[in-house]
Amino acid sequence: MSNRPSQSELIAYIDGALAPEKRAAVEKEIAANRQLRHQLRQLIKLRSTARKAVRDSTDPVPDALRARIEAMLQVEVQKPVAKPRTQVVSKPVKRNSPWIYPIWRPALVAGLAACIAIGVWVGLPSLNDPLNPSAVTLPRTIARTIVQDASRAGLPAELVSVVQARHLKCVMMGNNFEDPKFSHILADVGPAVRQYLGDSVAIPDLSSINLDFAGVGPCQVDGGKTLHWLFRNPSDPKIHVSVFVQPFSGQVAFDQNSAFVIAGPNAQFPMLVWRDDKFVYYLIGDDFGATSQTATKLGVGFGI
Amino acid sequence: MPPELPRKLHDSVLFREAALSHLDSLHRFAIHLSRNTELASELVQETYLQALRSEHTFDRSLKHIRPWLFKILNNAYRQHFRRQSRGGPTQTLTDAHEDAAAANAALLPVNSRLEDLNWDQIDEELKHAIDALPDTLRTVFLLFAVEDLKYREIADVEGIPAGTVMSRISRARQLLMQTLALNSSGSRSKSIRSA
Repeated sequence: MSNRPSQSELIAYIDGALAPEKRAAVEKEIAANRQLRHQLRQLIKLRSTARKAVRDSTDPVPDALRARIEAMLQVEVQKPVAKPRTQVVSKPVKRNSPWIYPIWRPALVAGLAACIAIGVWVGLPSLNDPLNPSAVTLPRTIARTIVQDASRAGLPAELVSVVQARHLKCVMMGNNFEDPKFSHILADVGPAVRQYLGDSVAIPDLSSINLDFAGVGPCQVDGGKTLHWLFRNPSDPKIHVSVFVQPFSGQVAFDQNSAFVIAGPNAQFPMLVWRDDKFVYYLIGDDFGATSQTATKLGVGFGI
Repeated sequence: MPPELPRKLHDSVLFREAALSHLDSLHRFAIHLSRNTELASELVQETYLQALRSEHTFDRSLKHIRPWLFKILNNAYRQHFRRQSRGGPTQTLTDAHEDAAAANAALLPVNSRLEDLNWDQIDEELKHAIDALPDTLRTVFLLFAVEDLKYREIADVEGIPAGTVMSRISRARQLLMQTLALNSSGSRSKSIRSA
């Protein structure tokens, strides 16, 4: 009766998965059988060739993805969440469902664009009284330029990544605004904001689409001094929106009163970016479907 | 309930460095798993996001972070299809189907046809053959042959017994050998006809 090992046993032998006795028996057969040795070589060759073929044929990690992951990992090590200082700021929300950052979705773009189009945002054109939260209607054409490549909007890809990482950090930590100079009551933040970014800076108010002010504070973002505003839906903790404001100093290459929805490979978290003569604004949300639904409730559609 | 205290800063930095060092492997696996570059990027990003959120739960040595990340990615891939409700990963085969495929492969004489195979010139052919494997076989084969995970680690990633991993790898090999043998045979026939 032949003791010739089966192909499965040969594979187990190659992979070191045989028991010592069985391994010895297989080795004995291999030594005595030229055909088995050949079969063994073929199996070994298959693995090494497969490894080389797959590795050599796979495109490297896209720069934008690498930058996003690195930015995500560079977010400071989590600190205990600061206790809210007033009743106005909602408590950090611990969500059970996994956080999902999909590749850009039209619903998100519609949601973000709608935020602008319906005039819930401030800043363009300038407010009459920049120290008070306000709502200003923007030109409806402002958010119609959608680009998949941030560089086409004159926006460095690294800047997109960092802004995304900052938004992520704040959402993950619930709230990260610890500078005591900045109140957690929207109506009181004006003086500190003005002192930090100048007299003409606007105060955003997204309450008309049911987004409560959750905090504001200085933030380290390439491109200069930056204020980060965080908004949260009190009835749906899945909705967060961040607005980053920087004095304009040439960090983006597009014209004032231009706005772009950055989506696609450069921004898996779609983001709306625009500027006026003094400031650059970045708006980014995290639950885009819900944001879009909010916009739909308000009767706004962009047809994207 | 107060938020959990963070891991030590030092540990966290090491954790993140270790996680980042596997980015190329995770991206490669995601591409061959999903066969879709955009989805692959999404899966990789989601993997790191989940890893960061679960950082405090990772209490093993950092040498175990690699299979842990692959497991997150694999789960993200499955969840993606569950969310999409589009029928799941293509060609999800049951063990019975796999057995049938392997049985068919075993019926054909392989070794004789592989005699003349030039292993240095079959990269592309082999890659296509791997891509054509049933999902359940392709996943374990890639994790084993390309990403160098051990049987036990693959078992953990896939949530199946180690014995099943072994048998799937064996079936994947048989199918690949069979495909190469058939292609080799086909090429020979063509050259004979053209001669």
